[in-house]
Formats: sequence, C-alpha cells, structure tokens
Amino acid sequence: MNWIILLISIVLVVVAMGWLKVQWTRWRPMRLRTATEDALKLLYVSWQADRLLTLDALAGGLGWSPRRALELLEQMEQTGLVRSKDQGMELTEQGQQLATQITRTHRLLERYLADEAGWPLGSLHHMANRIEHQLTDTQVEALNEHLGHPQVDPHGDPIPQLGHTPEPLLRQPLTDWPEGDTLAQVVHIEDEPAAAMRQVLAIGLRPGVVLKVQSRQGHLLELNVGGVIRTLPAAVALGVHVKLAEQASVQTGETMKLATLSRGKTSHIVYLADSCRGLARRRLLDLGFTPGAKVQATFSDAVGATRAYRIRDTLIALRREQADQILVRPCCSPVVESN
Amino acid sequence: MNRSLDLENQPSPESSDSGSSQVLLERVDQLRQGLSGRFHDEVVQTLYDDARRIADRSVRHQGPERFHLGEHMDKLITHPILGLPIMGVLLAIVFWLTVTGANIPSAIIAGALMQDGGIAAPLEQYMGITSPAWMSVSLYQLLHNVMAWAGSPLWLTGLSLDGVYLSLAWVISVMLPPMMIFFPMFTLLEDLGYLPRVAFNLDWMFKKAGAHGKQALTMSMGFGCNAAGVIACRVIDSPREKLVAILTNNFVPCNGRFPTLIMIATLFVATRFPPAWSSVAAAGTVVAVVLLGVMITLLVSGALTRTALKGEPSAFTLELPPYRRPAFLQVIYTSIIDRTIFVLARACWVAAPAGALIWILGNVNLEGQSLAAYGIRWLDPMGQVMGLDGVILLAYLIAIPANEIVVPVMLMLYMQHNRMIELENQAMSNILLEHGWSMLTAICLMLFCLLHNPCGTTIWTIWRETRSRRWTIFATLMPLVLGIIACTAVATIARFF
Repeated sequence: MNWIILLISIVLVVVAMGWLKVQWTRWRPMRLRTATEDALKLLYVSWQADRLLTLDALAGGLGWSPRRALELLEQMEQTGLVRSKDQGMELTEQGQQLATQITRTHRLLERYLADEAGWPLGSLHHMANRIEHQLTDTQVEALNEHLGHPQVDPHGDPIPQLGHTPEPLLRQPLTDWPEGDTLAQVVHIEDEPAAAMRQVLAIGLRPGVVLKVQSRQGHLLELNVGGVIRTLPAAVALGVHVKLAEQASVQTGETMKLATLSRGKTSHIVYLADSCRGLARRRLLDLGFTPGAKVQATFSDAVGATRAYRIRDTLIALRREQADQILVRPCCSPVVESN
Repeated sequence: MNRSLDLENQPSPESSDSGSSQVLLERVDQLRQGLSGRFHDEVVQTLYDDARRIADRSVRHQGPERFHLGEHMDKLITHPILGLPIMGVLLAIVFWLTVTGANIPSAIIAGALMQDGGIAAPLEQYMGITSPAWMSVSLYQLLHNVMAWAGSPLWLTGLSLDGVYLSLAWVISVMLPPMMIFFPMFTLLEDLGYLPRVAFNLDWMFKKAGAHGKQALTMSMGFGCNAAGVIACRVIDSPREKLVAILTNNFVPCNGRFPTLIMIATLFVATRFPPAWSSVAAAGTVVAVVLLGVMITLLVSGALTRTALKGEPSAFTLELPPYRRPAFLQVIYTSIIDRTIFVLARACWVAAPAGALIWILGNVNLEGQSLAAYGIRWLDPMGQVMGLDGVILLAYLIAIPANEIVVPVMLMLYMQHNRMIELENQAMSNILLEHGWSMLTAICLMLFCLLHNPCGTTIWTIWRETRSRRWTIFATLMPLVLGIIACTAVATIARFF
C-alpha cells in the first residue's frame, strides 16, 4: 500500500514542477515586455519634449534602482530600441515606432475606461498600466475604431498616431496664468504623481473646466472654479495645463443645469457638458437631447432623485446626475407646440 | 454616428487604386485633427433637424395634443405617496391570479400526464363533473401498460418512464400554467406603459445600490421565472448595471420555488396560529421571504457596484412611453411564444437528464443500499450544521436542473420510494415531522430556498447572456455561499438559546 502512495506523490511532484516551469517560461518574457514598454512610454514623453532621457530619470520614473534600469537599457540597446547620445538615451527608429504604439495603447485604454466603463479619472492610469501590455496591435486598432478615433485621452494628452512624429506640446501650466478675469480652460492634468492628481481632482478640476486665477499667495494659488474659491499648492498646480477658454464654454453665466429647472418650465438645450462622454453622451444624443432642442421639466419621483422631461413629443426620465450634465437656457413661452 | 465614421475610414469604391485611397485616408486623418470635440453632437443634431423637416412636410396634426389623459395618469401613478401602494396592489393582484388561477390547470395537466386519478379526479374535485371511466387513466399508466405489453425490461421502463417522463411531466404541470397566466399579464402591464413607471418610482432605491431602475422590471419578471428575468436584463442598456441585474436576479423566488415556500408556510407557520389567522400568517410569511429577497438583491447589488464592478453609474435614461391600449392578441402571442414556450423548452431539456439521474440514484443499489442513501449519509453532517438534513441537500442537488421537483424528490427520498410522489398536506406534515423536522428546519429551508444556486436553465441563460464563464460561475456559487452562511448562522443562533 505504501509504495502506491509514494508513487503517486512522486508523480504529483513531477507534474507540479512541470507546471511551474511552464508558468516561469511564460512569465519571464511577459515581465521583460512590461518593463520595456514602461520604459518606452517614458522615452516617448522625452522624445516629444525633444530632450534626452537620463538614466536617473528613467530609474525614477519606473521606481527602480539605477542598476536595474541600466540592465534594462543595455538589453534595449542590444535589441536596437534605444541608442545612447551625450548624457542620455534616445529612441531609434524602431524604438520610436514601438514607443508610439504603446503610448497610443495606453491613452486609448484610458479613453475607453473613462468613457465606456465609467471609471473615475483618478484610477484610469493605474488600470491602463495593467492591461496595456496584453493587447495586440489589431485589438488596439479595433478599440480605436470602436471609440470613434478619439484625439485626446481623458487627461488631455493627445493620442499619438503611428508614423507621426509627436508635435511638441504648446500648453501653459496653471502657475503661469495671469491673475484676474482672463478665463482659463483646463486642457490637461498630469496623472503622475497620483497624490498630486487626486488633490487636483478633489477641488473639481477636470479637462474642460473653466476657471479664473484669483490671486497668488506664496506657494498657494487661489482659484475661482465655477464661483467657488479653492486653493491649490503651486507645486501641484504645475501639473495642470490651461489655455484661453473657448467662446462656447464661456456662456456659463446665462445657462443653468437642466436639473435645476423648475417643474413645468421649458428651456432650450445649449450644450452637453464635456464630462458627459461615451455611452452616456451617445444615449442622451440618441434620445434627442441635442443642442437647440426644447425640453420641459415635468414630474419627479418621491425623493426627487429622478425626473421626467418632455422632449420631442416623448417623456424621458433622467437622474439628477444626468440632468446636471445638460446645460440649458430657460425660455419664456410655455411649450404647447411640439419640438 | 458610428456609420458616418466608418464611411470615412473605408476607401471610396471608385478609387480602387490603392495609392489614391492611401492619399484619401491620410487626408481623412489630417481633417480629423481639426474636428471640434462636439462634432458628434453636431452630426446627431443635423440628423434630428433633417427628420424634423421631413416630418413637418409630410405629417399634419389635427386637433389638440392628446397628452392630457396621460398626464393625469402619470400624476396618480408616480404620486410620491400613492405611487408605491398602487404598485403593491397591482403586483399583488398579478401574483394572486397566478397562484390561484394556476391550481386547476396544474391539477388537470398533472392528471392527464401522471396522477393516478387521471383527468377525472381534478375535474370532479374542482368542478363537480363526473367523467367517463376512460378519463381516469393518466398517460403515465397508459405508457406503463404499453411498455409492459411490449415486454420492456424493468430498468428501461424505470429509466424512461419513472425517471425521464415523470420529471418532464412534473416540470410541465407545475411550470406551464403559472407561466401562461403570469407572462401575458406581465406583458399586458408592460404594453400599457405601466411597468416603465414602476422603474421610475423605484429608481431611487436602485440608485443607492448603484444599479439601474429597470432592474425592478427584471426582478418582477424573475418572479415568473429567473431565466426569463435574466433574458429581460437586455432592456438595461449600460453594461455594468445589466451585469448586476443578471447576477442578482436569482434572489427573487420564481414560480418554481413558490410552491415550496407556500407549502412550508402552510404546514409549519400557519398551524401555529388560530385557524382564522392561519392563511394570513402563511401569506405573510411568503411576503416576508420575498421582501427579504428584495433586500438581499439591493444589498448584493450595492456590494458588487462598490467592489468588483466599481465605477460611477454609466448611463441612466428611461423612456416613459405614452399609455396605450394594448394589442391583446399580440400580447398573448408574444408572451406565450417568446417567453413561456422558450423557457419551458429550455427547462425540459435540463429536466429530462435529471429525471434519469433521479431514477438511477433511487434504484441502483450498491451493497444493499441505494446510491441516494450514500448521498444522504455523506451530505447529512453539513445539512445538520445548516439546520437542514442530508435529504434536503440531496434534493436540492438533484433539483439543480429544475427547482419545481424539490418537494417530490424530498418525499421520494424520505419514503424510500422508487419514484417522485405528491401527497396531501396532512400526510406530508406527518412524514416531515417523523423525520425530525422542526420550526428551525422550516425557517432554514425557506432561507435556503431563497438563497441557493440558480436552476440549470437560469445558469445556462446567464452564460448565454454574459458569454463569460467566470461570471456564470460567480452567479452560481455566490447565492449558494450566502445561503450556506445564512442557514448556518440562523441554526447556530437558534441552538444557542
């Protein structure tokens, strides 16, 4: 009897070791690919800014020791992805291609997670970092197609195209914006370091939000975000980039949120907020919530969380959050005729 | 919107020359850079404007708008205070009609297919009609005689008739009549425009759980049949909320589980009350179990959307169609063909092999004991911990394909019969008490009836709808684990006192 147990245990051990070996051989190249691609993303950013990436910057960006980063760079140099130049590293042509591809994958994934999966802005970067290494080029192109060829990621970074040299980014950090009444619109929020980004998101800044710089007091910036005064440390504000606000989004004075329209009142839709994206935006548009359409607020539920609106001869119920995304201008004539 | 983008991507048919299409594609890429962020909005707006223009040209409105009646109805139905009671009353009527209305047809179908008295017995009992003698023979007896005449061996008769045929007959007679009543009524309410208003009224509750208001509809559909409820989840357009609704649909007891609940409530709870109150007590118990199920649905939905399915609710839009006079014939046709027959066919496919398995377990002996006896002995310790016993667990294990047969299988196992059986209330109560049932067993069984793995048909449907093996396994095991925990906790606490 004992020899049977012995035999079975030996067989089991052999099988287990075989399995471990298979896992190990699968895992090692995967890990190398992950590391290489993470390094390529950093190299892409410096390529775009037209500067060289130093070893220290690479190690810092990956959160590695300089020794490990050096090993990785040597390996990448052997495979012909990078070459050293002066004091830093530069992408070869092949490296540029791969770096563009992985950056494109990363930003498209962020776009997907934000628009279609409804992930909060703060956790996109981390999640995209995890999935991006597993996608094939065909899958990435299918994703691009599905998302309707987006031009920027949710943070405001442009989504690069293959075979195009990235154009240097012409944007102004919030710290350089003049004080006073000039309206600034957020175009980009740096996603690293994560703590700084959380701080930026916490005071209500998003790409597309319009604000004024009230004053500068030492290391603190005083901002006017939609009528509310907020403060932000200058070091954090460095990660927020702005441009002169577009005319369309400056009309905030005259517009109000659809959710605040009182019962029975009629209004024209002016625009849908930029924060309403992907599936949610498509649904609203498909149901007829397009700029210019006439909409009337009607009855709401017991706790006032959901309300029905009459638009284009139909009744559509929206939650308060959805109706907050629709900016309207009240019009005086009560709606009887249909639109 | 998407179509217009696709067109941009494809080379136009005239330029078959790949060089010029390449140029075109590059031009498209360039132009795309210059598009404004609200380009999609503009496209949709243009489409709507075009539609408006065409409609204005060709459609003439006569007389005043007919919104007024609908507006008054809405005021009543979505009333902050009256809305909920109206809904409760309407749903109660639907359930009552289903449960009571299904009794007689169920008995007649059971008589025709398998009960000893044939059709004659239920006809006499419910309508006082005396029928000719040939009508008191069921198809089951007839087939038995045919098999015996053909000289079929015992095992073949047992496997095909006592096993497969009997379980099919059982599923059809228990399932078909309630579904034939429930689904058309449900579709009628849907067609009237009432159900979307229910979703509207209840949306705030589901919002707190991170789910979609339309989940209220898929849940009420689940009362008819969980598989149909899972299919109904297609009406929820955002993927996350749809998945939540699919995963939690099993927490509403379906028609197949109601008989078990009603039986236990009648035998164990109602008998503790004076006769005048007994039916109220039984009904109250069933309602309490249903409410518990709704609560668990909301809790689990909330837990899911805060952990595994984290994220903000993606899109909530709910169309409230105008009130309409329903097209009765169409309603009956679609609800019977699309829902009843579809669900029943699926149930039969999974119930047939289960019937064979039941017969084998009950009739194949190993060293003088049936396989079922081994199963019971093996499951008994776990059953005792959960306040149940081995027979109940084995019955639920066998009844995975169709929950309708739990009670007959349980009785078969207790009485060591070789086929599934049905008994009168008093006889059943005696047998259960003989086998050590107590109030605790009854409560734990009701809990377990609410919280256990979905039936085979539902599991299959969940897989068809999600196309994900992982979510299907999760949807199967999660309620089971919850059930085991809940029963064990109740049993442990009860023993403590």
